[in-house]
Amino acid sequence: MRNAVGERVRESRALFATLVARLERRARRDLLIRGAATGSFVGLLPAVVVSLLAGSVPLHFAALLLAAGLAAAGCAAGLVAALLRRVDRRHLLIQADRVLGSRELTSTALELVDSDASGVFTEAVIEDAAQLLVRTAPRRILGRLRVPLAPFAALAALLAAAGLLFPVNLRALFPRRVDSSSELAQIGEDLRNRGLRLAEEARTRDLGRSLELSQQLARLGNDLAARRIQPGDALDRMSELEAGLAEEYQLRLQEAQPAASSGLAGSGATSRGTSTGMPGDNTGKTGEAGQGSEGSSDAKSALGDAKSALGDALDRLRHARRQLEGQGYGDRAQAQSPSRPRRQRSPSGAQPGSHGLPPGQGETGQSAQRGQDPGSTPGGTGEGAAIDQQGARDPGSGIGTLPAPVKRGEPTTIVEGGRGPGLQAQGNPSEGDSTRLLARALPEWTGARLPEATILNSYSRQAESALARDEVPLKLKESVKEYFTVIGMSK
Amino acid sequence: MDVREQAAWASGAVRALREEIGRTIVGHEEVVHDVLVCLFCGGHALLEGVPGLGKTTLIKCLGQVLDLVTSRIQFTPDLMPADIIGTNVLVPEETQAAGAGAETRRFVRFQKGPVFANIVLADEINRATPKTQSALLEAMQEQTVTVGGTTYPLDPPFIVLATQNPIEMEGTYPLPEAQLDRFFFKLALGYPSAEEISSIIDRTTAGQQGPLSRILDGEGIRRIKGLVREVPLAAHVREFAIRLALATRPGTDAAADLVSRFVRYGASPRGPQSLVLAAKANALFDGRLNAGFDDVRAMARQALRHRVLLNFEGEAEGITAEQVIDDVLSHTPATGAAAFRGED
Repeated sequence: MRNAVGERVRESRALFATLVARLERRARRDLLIRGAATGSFVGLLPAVVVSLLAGSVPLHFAALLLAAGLAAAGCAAGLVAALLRRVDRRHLLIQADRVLGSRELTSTALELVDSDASGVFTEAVIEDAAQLLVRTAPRRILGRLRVPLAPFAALAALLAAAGLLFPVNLRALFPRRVDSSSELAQIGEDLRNRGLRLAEEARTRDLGRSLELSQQLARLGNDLAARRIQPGDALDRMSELEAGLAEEYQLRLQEAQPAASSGLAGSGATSRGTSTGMPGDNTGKTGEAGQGSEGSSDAKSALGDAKSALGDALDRLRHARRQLEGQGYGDRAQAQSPSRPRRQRSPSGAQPGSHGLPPGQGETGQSAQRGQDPGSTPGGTGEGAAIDQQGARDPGSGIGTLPAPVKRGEPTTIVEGGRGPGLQAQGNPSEGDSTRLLARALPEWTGARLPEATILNSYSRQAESALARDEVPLKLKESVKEYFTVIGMSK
Repeated sequence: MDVREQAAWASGAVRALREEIGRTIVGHEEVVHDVLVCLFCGGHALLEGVPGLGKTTLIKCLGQVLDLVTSRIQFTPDLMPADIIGTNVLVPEETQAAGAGAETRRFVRFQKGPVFANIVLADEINRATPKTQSALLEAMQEQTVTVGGTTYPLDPPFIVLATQNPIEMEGTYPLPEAQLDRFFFKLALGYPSAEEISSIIDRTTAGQQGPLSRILDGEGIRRIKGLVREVPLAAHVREFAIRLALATRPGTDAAADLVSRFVRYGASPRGPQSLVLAAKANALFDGRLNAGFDDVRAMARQALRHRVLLNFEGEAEGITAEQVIDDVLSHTPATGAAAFRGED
């Protein structure tokens, strides 16, 4: 009889211990699931960042591997943390009592089992607790498995996968905003000065259209300087002004050309399309017809000055526009007004001063453009030159006058390898069929010829006018002066 | 008898006691239950209530149903300790030699006082002087009486049921804290409801009511007392009882706001002792084999209310010890952080 009771006691204790162990395992499993979800979420956050950056930033490692590694590391960390966490059986059974309303029956039984106590009610309590646990599913005690971070982890995984499968260039999505208000103000100030200078010139020469354009330029400069205008709108107004100035420039050029031609013919000089190659004068604004001829008339000089001021203002305007576009405003402005042309060409199809080139090609001297006979660049000390060559209607000039083997409008050839600021030579588009040839300024290759005495004075004047500009650094001014001084002394 | 059968027997006996007492006492079920808890825990109860609520009747009924010796002491200001515990008296004794030469000798004999009973009703205990009140101290705590250097044990079970009137305070001597602490429970009797009064009238103004049946004898009481102490109580339940007692002490971290403001002294170690033992009895009376948080909560008021002493501000504000204990109960979580929470 006693043995039977003892056997029953042992059975009830063993059953209770088994049930508690089952509950403990289930609780551990829940903890592992929660830990894995939490860890995965934490690991997937940087994985999402990596996947998003993969399309924007050149990474020195495989983005897929890194993202997967991060997620796996997070998951593993969560699992380890869950494994390290202690599942207290006493706490489990207190929870069981709370859920089942058993008035601390199971937790008391656990304490009796653990302490191996022997009392009047000990075995009865353990047996009752075991029976209660047998009738109760562990899920009821532990509650529904809730993994609140699971949907977020899944979302993060989707984001990471999407970022890796469809790389997104964040720079394209979010263009860099440059806080260049001070730079814009500086550009505006410069444009206003140019406009005022041009206005003064136009007023002196009684050039109505030029005066109007110069006033518009000054107003635009004012607006920019006072930050009353958005960069995108400034670009629009710049484009319009550029077109107007280019047109006016062509008109002034056509008016000045006959005078220059007559002056040149009389002096027996050459060059209808003279070129400048002033070091440091990267505006390349040339075509100063008649400058090479001495003793030109006052009318010619006046027209030339007006044209020069126009070209100067135009150059500055384009320079300012390039600066704005370089700051990312150009793309936005173009997106806002897609109808606005990226670059307006002059009516003649060739822009003065090689401005028909796209930014960064030719004008900046990064590359030069080759024509068939680039020999008309006597000042080819520059690393690159662009020549707008007129037709071959001036055979007498000999220099800078070449037959036009290429038809108008035919695409030019871009030659790589130029260095330094570009130099341009400008012909007269109004004379005959002209084409715009772009040549690499290496006169020692081409054997171009131009009498030095003819061009030196012109160069000197160009240099003096260039040196008068404010933006030419003092150091370069000294270099230019020294250059011409040396040339003059040697000759 | 199997342990389950023993527990069921104990639970049934208590239920029968309550029903039998309920034949005479209308209402006050909780008070009857708590008095029985005191009885089977070996404690004493202080009943507080206005006159006419049936305190004396309750104790008489208890004596009848338990087949125990009862005595009643009406405490008055001129009551002396000897009137309670007894005294040595000179008793004359004649010699065997009869006739004219016979001598009469006198010797001292201890005359037992009314405290020598199983159930002692100390009616209006606060009307006696402190000296007389303290005469009960040894009997209540040690269940012995010492007179003239001789100690006399009291027959078990021994339970003192004292009453006091809360409204007539003039000419009374409030019980000292030391004596208050020796009471297992302090029970408050409230006014009966209209239905209960109607039932009381019916029972007391109609024909003669028959005597109450005897439900338990001394042996039965002893067995139930033994079972009560065998009821297991988990460690976290015991910790809860301790935390409750500690929370009644001002100046501790566990003290609730009401305790900090209005309590002068909190529960002594006898408080959680009473609480745990009463919880066990409560569980057994309910037919359960182990005590839980609910049993501790159910006994908290009775076990702690006379151990929480209010300060002057509390008295002036009309705060009661029951309010303080309720506040402590509401601010003391049962399991605290002990329960397993997988979400943590």
